[in-house]
Amino acid sequence: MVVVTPFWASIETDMPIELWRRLLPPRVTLAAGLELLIRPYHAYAIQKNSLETVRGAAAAMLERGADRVYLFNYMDSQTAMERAEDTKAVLNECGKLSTLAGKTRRHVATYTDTWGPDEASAALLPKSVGAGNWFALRIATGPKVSRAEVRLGCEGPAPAELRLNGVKCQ
Amino acid sequence: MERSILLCRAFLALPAAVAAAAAAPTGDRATALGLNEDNSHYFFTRAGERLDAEKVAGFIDQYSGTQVRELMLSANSMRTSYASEVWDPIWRGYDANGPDDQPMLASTPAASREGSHKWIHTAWDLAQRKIDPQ
Repeated sequence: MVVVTPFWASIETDMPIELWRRLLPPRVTLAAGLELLIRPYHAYAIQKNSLETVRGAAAAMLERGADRVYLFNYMDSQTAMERAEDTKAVLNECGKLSTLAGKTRRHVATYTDTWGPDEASAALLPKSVGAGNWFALRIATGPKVSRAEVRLGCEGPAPAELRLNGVKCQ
Repeated sequence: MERSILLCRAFLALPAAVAAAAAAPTGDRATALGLNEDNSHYFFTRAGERLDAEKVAGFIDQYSGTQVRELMLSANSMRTSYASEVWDPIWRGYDANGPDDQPMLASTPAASREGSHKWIHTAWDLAQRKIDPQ
């Protein structure tokens, strides 16, 4: 088994699982590591994943070809999710797309908390956008859903227009 | 339920069986969960409890019937959390009657000493009573 995973500071929702799958022999079980914490960039307040964010990350990783979802630090107390009932739901839902289907999930832009020598550290957020400009976030979202809601936190004026997969949001 | 628990324990005790199962996923078990338990969490969260062999072994029962297929049990960092005869166990140099700030924990940040003490004491106590959590 090979586990692709961030170090600890945040779950990483855009790990290139499909590339790891191509690199590894078929006999190797490929697991996507989901950390307990979640944040968009390193200076952000430490917080834990919710049931919805674990569902979202698991759905995306399974859709991209992970054989396994490897939960790291989802223990049975203290080093655990905030609510025991959420842990129970995660343990019963988040290993298979079939049991994730139809359930509310969140897909959050996070960052890579580990990088190699001479490799630039990178985070998509926060992002400064001047008047008249735009930017895009690519977020793996797993199987297609019929309805989605976009949440974008802003300082200053809200964007004049927001699009999801090229479609203007209502 | 009891049979399921026993099978689960036996399964986890046989690495070869785990490997075989992982290599040939079938049907609805084609994907599922792995889960870690680190080398200190069990011990400091069970501090003060009267643990016996059945209770320790029963730790994995909570995962019976869930999607968890593999439990990854961390046995050590620089020291082991069990009575290794090769590496130093975490209680080497430990004074079971000593306080949180005993010499062994002098290099541990003050805020972490209580938790470390609980971890070490529980692991030490299990070892004294020949209960092997691994």
